[in-house]
Amino acid sequence: MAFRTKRFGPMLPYHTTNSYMVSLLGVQNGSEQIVRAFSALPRDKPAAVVVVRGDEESIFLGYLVSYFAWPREVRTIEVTSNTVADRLKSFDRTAVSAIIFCGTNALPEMTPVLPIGSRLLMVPTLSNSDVTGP
Amino acid sequence: MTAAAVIAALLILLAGGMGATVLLMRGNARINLIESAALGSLFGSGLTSLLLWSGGLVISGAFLQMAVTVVLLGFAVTGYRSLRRRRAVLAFPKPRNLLEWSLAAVIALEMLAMIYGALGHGLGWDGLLNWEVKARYALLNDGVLPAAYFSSGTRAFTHPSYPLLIPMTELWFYLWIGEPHQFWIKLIFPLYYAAGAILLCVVGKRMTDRRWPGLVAAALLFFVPFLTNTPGNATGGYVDFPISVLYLATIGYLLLFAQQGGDNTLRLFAASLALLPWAKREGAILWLIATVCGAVVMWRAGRSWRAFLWLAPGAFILASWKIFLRAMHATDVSEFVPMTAATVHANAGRLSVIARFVVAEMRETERWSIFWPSVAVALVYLAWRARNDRLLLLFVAIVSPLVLYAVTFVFSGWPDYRLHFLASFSRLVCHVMPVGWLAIVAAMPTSARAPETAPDL
Repeated sequence: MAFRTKRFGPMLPYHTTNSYMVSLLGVQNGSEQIVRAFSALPRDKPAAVVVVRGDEESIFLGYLVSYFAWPREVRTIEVTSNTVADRLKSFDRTAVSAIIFCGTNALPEMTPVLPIGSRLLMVPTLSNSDVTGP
Repeated sequence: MTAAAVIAALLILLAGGMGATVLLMRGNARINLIESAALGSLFGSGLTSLLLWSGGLVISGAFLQMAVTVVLLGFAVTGYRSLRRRRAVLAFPKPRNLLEWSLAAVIALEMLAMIYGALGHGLGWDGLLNWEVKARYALLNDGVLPAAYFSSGTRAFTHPSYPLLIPMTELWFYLWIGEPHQFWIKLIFPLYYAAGAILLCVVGKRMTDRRWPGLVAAALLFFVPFLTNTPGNATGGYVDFPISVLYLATIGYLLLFAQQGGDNTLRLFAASLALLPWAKREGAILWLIATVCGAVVMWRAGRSWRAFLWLAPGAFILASWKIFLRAMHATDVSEFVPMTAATVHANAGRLSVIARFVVAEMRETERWSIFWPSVAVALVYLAWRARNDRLLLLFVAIVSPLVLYAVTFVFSGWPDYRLHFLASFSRLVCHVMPVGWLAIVAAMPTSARAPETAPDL
């Protein structure tokens, strides 16, 4: 209930998204971490989010990533536990600057993996020359 | 610093809105300060959002912010000069007895509780991803939603074709703050609550010639559970409660016009009406119903064809928005299939299920307590007491949106239309809820004593 609250705030720009991420990812400054991670990627190259079909939390995390990814285009890859490997093997990784796994694990050969909380993993796919710096 | 920016944005928005309100009320010698502040917040939000959207077609950034500020302050100055020229006064309607003081104090406390509730919680899912996201993207793009946003299929989940009353109002605050701010932006939603409560008081007083029925309705508004205990609550960043307040203003002033006439009342009805399709897509349905009601009332009042032009601004806004979306090649996730005879034939069987669900929703006490049964009793009592134009208008304004909203689920494109209904119908019902209070106000027993003649309300 809206009024069962003991305190205001925190009076921070990411008040809402951080509160979602505390419950979904168990991480305190999730929004700032995502913003920082995206700031190292080029603005004109798409990113991809991998979400689990039928998993509301995973899909919502995918939406949150898209929220922060602006102005980058975000391509969604829907997977199931059986199809994740096949879908990613057939996906052209060079077309995106990063693949973000929402509620599912990255493939073992994908490195480096930047974890943001417990269920969000970012895998940059760029060479060093593409990265614009943090 | 951020708080100062929020206050500046709020004061300029209110000043512009109050200026516009005073100009619309230009025939009144005494203007109710509280009423003009409530309408000022509604019209200020409407004006600001329309200016930011239309201005953004040609300018951006600091120029856009400055231009909108100048226009809003222009409305404030023009309104003030209009007041001075006709020696009209802004009057503060003080409570006059213990009952009125008590009810006014309760309403004020409820408004504070709404602010407390708003700032203690985050935006709801849709509040963030359908509405606030547009303000964020616009700010990050120099104050203007970029064409790429509307045409990018990858952001269709944010519904780019949804109208911009709330997102552009949020953008106004962001422009002043200098960054998207999910905490402070929640302050605009208690404003709508306050406007709704005040308008219930004002319209209730003028409908019944007594103050207490409107004050009681405004005090009880807070206790409709939907406003505080659901994801689409009054302060969660959803547009459903703001549009319900606009619909209250539209129908409220139309009822007063039908009852008492007056060009000022007609103009306030028209201004509220125009903003309905700018708030939410379903606002087009509310706009259509209120426009038909308004046309009938004006025709019966013997108004000239010129008066009917007051019905046009909403159509103009709706058409402009549709043209804009077409020009932007807007993409969206459609939750409904096309309305064809074949679909009606195929899905006609849904109607009985939908009807059962509607009745169940009206009896749902977790969200509505005894509100909807009370409205039903009020309408039956009014019909028993006197079958007049006011009853007909209230009945059409309350029942027809609910029927039309329910029927749209015949065309639901969800795999299970029942889940679609259960996920969204209660929020649609909220659009009509404050007008339902007007039916309760009209049915409240008022004594046979001579009506109060307070000039200030």
